[in-house]
Amino acid sequence: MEETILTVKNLNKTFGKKQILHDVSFECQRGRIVGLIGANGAGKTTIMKAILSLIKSDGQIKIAGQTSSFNSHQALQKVGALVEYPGIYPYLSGRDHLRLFVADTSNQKERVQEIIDELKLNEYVDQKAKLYSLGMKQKLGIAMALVNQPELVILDEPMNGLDPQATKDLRELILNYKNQGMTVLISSHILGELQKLAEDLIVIDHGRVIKKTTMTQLLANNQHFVVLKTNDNQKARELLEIVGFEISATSPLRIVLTEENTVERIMSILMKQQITINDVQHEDADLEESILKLIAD
Amino acid sequence: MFFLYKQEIFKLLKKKSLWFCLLFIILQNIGVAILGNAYPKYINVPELFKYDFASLSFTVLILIAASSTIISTEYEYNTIKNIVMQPYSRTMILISKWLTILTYAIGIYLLSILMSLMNKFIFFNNSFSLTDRLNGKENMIWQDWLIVNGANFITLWLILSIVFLLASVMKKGAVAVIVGVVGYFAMNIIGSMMFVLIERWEFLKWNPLNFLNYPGQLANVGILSELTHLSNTQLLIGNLSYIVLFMGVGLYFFSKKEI
Repeated sequence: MEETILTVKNLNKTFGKKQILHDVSFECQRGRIVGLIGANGAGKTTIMKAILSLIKSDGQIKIAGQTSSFNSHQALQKVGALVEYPGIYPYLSGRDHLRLFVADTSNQKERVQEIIDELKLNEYVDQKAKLYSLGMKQKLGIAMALVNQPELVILDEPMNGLDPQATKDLRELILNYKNQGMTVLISSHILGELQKLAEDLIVIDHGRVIKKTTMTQLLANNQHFVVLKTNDNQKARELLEIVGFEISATSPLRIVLTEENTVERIMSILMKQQITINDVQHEDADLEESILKLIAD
Repeated sequence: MFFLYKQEIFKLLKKKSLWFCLLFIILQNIGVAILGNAYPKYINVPELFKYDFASLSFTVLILIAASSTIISTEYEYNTIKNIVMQPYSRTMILISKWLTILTYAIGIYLLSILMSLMNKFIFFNNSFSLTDRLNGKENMIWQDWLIVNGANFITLWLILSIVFLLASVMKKGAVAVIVGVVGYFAMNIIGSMMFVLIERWEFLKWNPLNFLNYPGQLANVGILSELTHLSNTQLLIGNLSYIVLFMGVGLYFFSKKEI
């Protein structure tokens, strides 16, 4: 049975006279990776900040059934977060940062070492943080968010400054934690990365939730294409257009598939005209295309 | 709450400036004692001893800077988010910072007191005794010494409460430091002018700067009270009231702060 770990209900936020969030409502189920998507300034970070009690807001926020507000947020005990860029004390080492925030438990030393190993921080974790690069700071920020093994982790643009290997490592780490039951609310500009991670999606535009869906559902509604290489692309294109196919790109030929316009029909038309097909590939529109289409609508 | 206090102490102990300041107080105390020993004709050594060989002034400056930066650096490093995201209220966060500075203040005062005592016995063992009475005063030197230290500690907190208030309202620490330092030295700069004004407008005796005369008035019985127009008890209660007021206002602003 699904269990709600985070409930955001009718969240409103104004800065001065400008309303930034308009009745934002959504839920996150335990053990799911939830992507918060939207253009710059859509309100993603503001939502995350409101959940984390960093800013005042109107509306209701519940974490694991416990109401959380600006001045009373014990529920954040269950939450780890990295919002915007990581806050780092230059005079402390990476290990000091983790020691500073790790909960008082009998195995806190082991837990700190565990997260250092998981995020591969060993090489520089005992150096002063003022010597760290942007990527190193980012990894430390993520380690700080995860060190107490929170039930809910909120990550705002966690891939910022990470190299491809570190990005892949982080993705695997998030999936690993998710498999252990952790819920992740994540925002990222790198939609390709989000596509590999997120299961549920909340699309924000101008401070409003415009779509709540799952990744599978969203991608299933996407357009499907077939990409062809023939001995005469020009002729093939003309023929297919005459019979009603939509061509989305010409080099190579990228043809939109529909219920009527199937691959079988393409093959039959081209073979009748003795056009040789050298290569056929299926292609689906990705998250980026879907989101852009959603926002444009 | 204890967790927050532990975090603040951990950060303080990791700062190089803490150890530098403690070392500075040790060297400064010894240095001034050596000067007093070398020029006893020009320096009133027992008076100097009462003020911990001038360590009290430096201690105030160090604590003004520490109180301001304990808040402002959290904004500067963007680490305030990490602290607020924990399951503790903003009120508890600020109180943990006060307690950290209180711990620091007690530590640095104890260091000054111990260094002064040690230097008294090393350099001035034969020149004066702690049980002497200066200029026919009622109190013995050791009594005056402890009174000055105690009263100075109270006025220190009057200054620090203003510094905390400013640091809580603003994000930049520099303003709080400047106001604190100026406030502390303002007594010497505008002190005489303030007394003239108090003579003219009685109500001005309640201004916070006048309460900084508390240690001086206690050490120089009868002389300053004619200028401050306040009794020792009034000065004590006034100091404590202003401390509570400024700390309370600072807490109010801090508890409403968005990040």
